[in-house]
Parts: sequence; C-alpha cells; structure tokens
Amino acid sequence: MNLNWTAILPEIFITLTALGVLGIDLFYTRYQKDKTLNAIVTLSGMGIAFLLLPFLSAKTQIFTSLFVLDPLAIFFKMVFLISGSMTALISINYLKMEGFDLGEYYGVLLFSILGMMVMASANDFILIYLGLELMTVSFYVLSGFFKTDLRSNEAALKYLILGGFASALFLYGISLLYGVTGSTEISYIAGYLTEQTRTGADSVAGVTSAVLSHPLLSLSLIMLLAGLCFKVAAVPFHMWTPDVYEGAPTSVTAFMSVGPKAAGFVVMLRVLLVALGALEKQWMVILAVISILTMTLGNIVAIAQQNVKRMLAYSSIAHAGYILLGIVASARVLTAGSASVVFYILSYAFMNLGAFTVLLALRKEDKQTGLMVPAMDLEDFSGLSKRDPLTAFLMLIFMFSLTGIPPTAGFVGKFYLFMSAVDANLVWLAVIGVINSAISAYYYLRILVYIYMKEPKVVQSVDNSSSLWVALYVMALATLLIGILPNLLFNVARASVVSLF
Amino acid sequence: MSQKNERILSYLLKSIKYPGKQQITSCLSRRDTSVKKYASFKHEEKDLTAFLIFSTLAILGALLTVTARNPIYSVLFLAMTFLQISGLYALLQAEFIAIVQIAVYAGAIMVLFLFVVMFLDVKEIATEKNFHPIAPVCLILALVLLGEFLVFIFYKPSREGGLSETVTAVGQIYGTAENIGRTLFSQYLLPFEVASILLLMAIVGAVVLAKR
Amino acid sequence: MMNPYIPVLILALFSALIAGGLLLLTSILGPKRLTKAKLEPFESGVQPLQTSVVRIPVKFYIVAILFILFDIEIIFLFPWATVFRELGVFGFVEMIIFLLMLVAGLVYAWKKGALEWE
Repeated sequence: MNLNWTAILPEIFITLTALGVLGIDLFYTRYQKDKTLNAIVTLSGMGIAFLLLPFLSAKTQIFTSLFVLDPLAIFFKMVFLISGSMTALISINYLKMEGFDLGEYYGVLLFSILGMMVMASANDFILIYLGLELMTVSFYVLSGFFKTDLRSNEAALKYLILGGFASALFLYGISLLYGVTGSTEISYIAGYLTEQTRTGADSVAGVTSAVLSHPLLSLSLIMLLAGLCFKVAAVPFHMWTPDVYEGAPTSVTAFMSVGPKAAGFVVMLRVLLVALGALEKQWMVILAVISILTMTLGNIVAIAQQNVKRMLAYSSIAHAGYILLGIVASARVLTAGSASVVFYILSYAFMNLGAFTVLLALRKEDKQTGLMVPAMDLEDFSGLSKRDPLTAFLMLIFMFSLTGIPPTAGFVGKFYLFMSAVDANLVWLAVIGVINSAISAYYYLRILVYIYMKEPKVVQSVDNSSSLWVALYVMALATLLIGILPNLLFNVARASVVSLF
Repeated sequence: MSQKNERILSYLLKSIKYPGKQQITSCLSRRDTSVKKYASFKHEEKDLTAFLIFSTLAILGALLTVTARNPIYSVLFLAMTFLQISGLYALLQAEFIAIVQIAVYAGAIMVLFLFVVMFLDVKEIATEKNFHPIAPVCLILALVLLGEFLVFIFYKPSREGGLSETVTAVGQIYGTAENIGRTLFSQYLLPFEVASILLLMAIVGAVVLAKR
Repeated sequence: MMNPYIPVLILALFSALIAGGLLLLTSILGPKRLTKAKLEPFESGVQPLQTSVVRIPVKFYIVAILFILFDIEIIFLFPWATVFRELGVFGFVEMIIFLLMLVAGLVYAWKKGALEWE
C-alpha cells in the first residue's frame, strides 16, 4: 500500500490542534480568564497547516487513491484556512460580548475546517460524504451555539433537519452511481463513463451507450446535484438559508456563507467535471436553469429585506448563482470556466467575510435596556460615516466588491465569470448575470446611502478589538489587491484547475 | 466533449501512480467475469418469497409509523420497519450490515427516539390532527416520485448491453464481517479514521448543546 | 446446504410463540372478574396521582446520544476483531488511533460533567 503520510499532514495538524483546543478547555481552564488562549492555539494551528501546504508535493494520491493532493485541493485548503482563521479572529471579542465565550467554539470550528479539507482532497464519494458530514455536523453545532437565543436554536434545528435530508439525497445519489458504475472512486467513474462514451460513439453515430442514457444515471446525477445545491444554497434548495443565516451567531454566519459554499463547489467541480464529465449535456442544462433561478431569486428577494443579515443571506444565494454560471460555462471551456469559478470563490470569501465582519462589529444601543446589542437593521447603519468613517469606508469597499464595481475583487471575479460564459457561447447567460449584477447594485448601494447620506438614528458603537481589526484590514486589503492585480492570482487559479483534467 | 473525455482518459492512463489504471483497461473483462458470477449465483424462488414478506412488512410498518396516533406506537412500528430492512440486507448477502441495522437502528436509535418522544408532551401530539392541510400536495408529489421509480425499475434499454451488464453481483462472502474488516482497514482506512473524528465531533456537539 | 438463516428463523418463531402463547394462555386461563380494584395499576398499592407519562429531563438525552456513539464504536470493533491477526500491527495501530479519538470524546464528556447526575 502506498502510504504517503506527508500529504495528509495539514489534516493531521488540524486534528491535533482541535484536540489541543478541547484539551486546554478541560485541563487548563482554571488558569485562564477567557478563551483567548484557545483562539491563539487555533490560529497558530491553522497557520502551520497553511504554511505546510505549499511544501507538500502536489499530485500525490494516497490511501489507495481515495485522497488526492492536487493543486486544486491545495488552493481550496488555503481558502478554507484563510477564511477559518479570519473567522477565529473576528470571533474572539464577539463571543465575549455575547456571553458565550466557550473554548469548544474553536474546536468545532477546526473540525468543520477539517471536514472541508477532506472534501477538497477526496477522490472517492465515501470520503466526500464523510467530509461533508463532518463539516455539516460542526455547523449544526455552531449555528446553535448561542443556546439561550431562541433564533439560534431554531437555526440549528432547521439546518439539522433540512441538512440531514440533503445529505440523505446525496448519499442516495452515490449509491445509485455505485450501482451503475460499480465504483465510488471519482477517477474510476470518470474512466468508466468515458469508456462508455467511446463504445457508444463507435457503434452507431449519434446513439450514446446504453449505460450513459440509462435513467438511473440521470437520477443519481439529480440526487447528487440536489445534495450539493443544498450545501451551496442554490434555488430551489435555498429555503433554509435566510433563517439559518439570520439565527446563527454572526461570526458563524460569516463563515457559513463562505466555507461550506467553497467546499460544495470544489466537490461540484470534481463530481461534475471529472466524474460525470461524460454527462455534461445533462447537467449543463440543469445547472443553467438553477443558476438563473438562484441569481434572480437571490437578488430580487434581497431588495425587500430590511434586516441586513438577512439581506446578506439572500446576496450569498445570488453569488452562488454567479458561481454556478461559471460551472455551466466550464462544461464548454474547461480551463477558463473552472479557473474563473475558483478565482471567484476566493474573491467572494474575502468580500463576503468582510461584509459580515462589519455587520458583526457594529452595535447599537437598545432603547429599552440601554445595552449595546448587535445592529441588524438597515436603519442602524444610518449615519455611520459620521460616527466612524473608517468602518464606513471599509463597508464601502466590501459593498462595491459585492456589487462588482472596479477596482475590487468582485469586479474582476465577475468579469472572468461572465467572460468564460461568453467564451462558451453562452452570451445569454452572461447577459442574465450582468442584469442581475445591476439589480444587486440597488440593495448593496442602499446600505451605502444609509451610511453616507442619512443622519444617525440610534447610538452606534463599533467593536474596536485589535483581533477583529486585523482581520478586517486583511480582508479589505485582499479585496482591493485582488481587484488591482488580478493576473497573479488568476494564473494560480488556472494552474490549480489544469491539474483536474 | 469528446476532446475533453479523451483528455481525461489519457490522463488516467498516463499517470503511472494511478492504481485504477489496470481497472480501467481491464474494465470490460472484469465486467464479464462478474456477469458469469452473477449467472452462477441465481436467486432462488424462496429468496423472492422472503423478499416479498420483508418488504411488505417494512412498507406496512412505515405506513403505520406515520399514521399511528400515539407516538410510542409510531416508534415501535419504526422498530418493526428497521427489523424488516435488516432482513432485506441479509437477503442481499450483507450480513454484517444486517446485524448493524439491528444493533444500531433497532437498538440504539430507537432508544433515542423513545427518549425524544418522552421529552415532548405525548398526550398533546396524540390528540392533535394527524394530517396537515397540505397533505394532498405531498401525496401527489410522492405518487409522482413513485411513478418515476417505477419507470426506472421497468426501464429497458433500447439496445443491447444495458445495466445488467454493469451490475456487480456479489458473492456469498461479500458482506461478512471479515470481508468488511479487510476492506475497511486497508482500502478504506482514511474514511474509517475520519469517521472516528466525526464521532468525536458528535460527542463534543451533543455535550455543548445539551449541557446547560 | 442448509440455509444459515434457518436457526434465526427458528429463534424468531420461538420467541414469537412464547410471547404470543403466554398472552393467549393468560387470556384463556385467567379468571375474568373485572372489579375496580383489579383494574388499578398496582393492586393494594398507592393510588396513582397522575399519568406515568411525564416529560423527562434533557440529561437523559446526553446519556442516550453517548450510548449511540459508543455503540457505533463497538460496531467498528467487530469487523476489526475478525481479521485482527491478518491485519497485524498496522491494523492494531489503526484501531488504537480510532479508539484514542473516542477516548478523547469520553474524557471530554466526563470532564465537562455530562455524565454527572446532579
């Protein structure tokens, strides 16, 4: 057996860090005032795992090719680790303020990142499923982390029930695919179905092989897509998103809108482009419809929201639609399409985490109790520029980026996505994407109108803890840098997907 | 499309490390042997009888689970369904899974279900109406799904060489604990260890959420 | 060759026979004098104050879920034990890692006081 242990070193490291964080909580708890030590251990663990990644030899398959460490996996693991460490940074003070400063938070966060990392590297549906479950179970816990908050409980319960349903569908899809192809391994399925395509093409022109046209294969494709679309919150599997995003702790929502989405998309890339590449005619149509519905519904419903957290939830649905557009395009222009998807996911990670961080940092005075509570409504943002011009400016960057206004990451990302759609002869799809971006400008810029053009309605305060601000600066800088120097990163993205095919 | 598939295949065949290389090249020949094995392992008439008994009882149990007015009865009917499904696994030569089904589902999960029923106020649920106003819609959707599945079951490929060729028939020893042990601790070692982390995570999550 | 499931079938039939037979026998043989005192749950006992169905504390839930998780752990031990010799040291190490993970979970639950009753 080929046991190349170095390839899973980052995963081992994250596991040990998670155990360490739980251990600190158990055995060191009486010597510490708060859970900053847990956060520091978490951050350093993620940092070491992150630094390990570039040194590992890419293109290693270990554990009888269940686990693959190609540049795509490395790229996505970096995205997970970056967004995870940003989440840990913004959580430190937030948890303290909300009164749920528990060390387990960081342990569970690390486990969820571990699940995503396993998903990014999995070359077998069994491993994908286990990574998916590890990630989702962690998020069930994280979204219900504020135990006394009823909305947090509701979020956890809703996510648990619907998420379990989606996982079951995904599993059903895997079992049907196993029944058709006789394997759960992605590269084997790819080879088998491609072989079928050839034999089909050899015999009669225009008639595909009996296996490829078998309805069971289509059924398994639909089930797999349903499970994955749930994870990335695409219409019609988006119902849980607004409620769960709104109820969950804001730091968790920030991570939930980035991490699981990215993990879902990396699995989608592997499953659709590699394993089921032979079925691209089928999934292209399905995904194109889903993409249009997701973009349109996300953007239109977001307009009606007065609660900023809910609005960002719908905006994250819309962004899933844009990314799906890229996947549809990559059915025809493989490298350009999937590179734009990968690029957009990274840009989206920074700008969306940033937007949620500003929301998390902003607090207002509750009129009845006089306490500072999290600001959630659009009204709470009014006049922020006068009270705190720096935060207002950072929000401006993130909103511009989410809308897709240069010189930000969001603009470049959308540009590449729509260009790949045009390259793939899907101009109409690109046009719908552009129209949707225009719609989205309305509600993103509305926040800026409140911030810059209205008088303050409530007493606001901004969290000024240094850890949060470090994260905020990093995200704002990254958003701008990607927007100004996109080529560098796009080449990395392109190099990472070339290994796929 | 074909160009890309060529690329996938050439990549797979090119990469020396890839262990599935032989699998792919010997793909069709392996199928043939499995078909032969399948032919030698014929399902006997009594297997069909057993299947019909188990599946009928399983469906009956599932129906009674959702229609029973007392939640405790629901849980017990669910246990009955689980037992029948265990019988179905045994018919599929998956002995180990059949035992796991009884030990975990009919045993442990049922305990959890009963506990949850007891956490809630049983009487309230028992007197509540069993059918939601949107039940007819759900029924129609369920029937559509059933119809789809029937289509899939009775689907006959228009040309020679349908799925029957690819269905991997399994031998008598396939689902034994030994065989599962052998596969799990060699080929599926990594998923096994990830499963342990998943279980640890579940313990932590349960304690975090349920402990006040 | 005898079907290996025949003993299982006999066992199932036997247990069904005993359970059903005892119920049937009591209903046939038992005298049927249904007085008020006879119908009480505990004859000559304390009068029941309310129904026995009450909401039980959530503490039981932790115990139940820990039971399930360790039950699943045991399930993994079975296939390992059957091929233990064949797998050798490597398989032993694998299982030790698996068990250590779950022992970590047990230690965690223990130290957090999830197993304490008061």
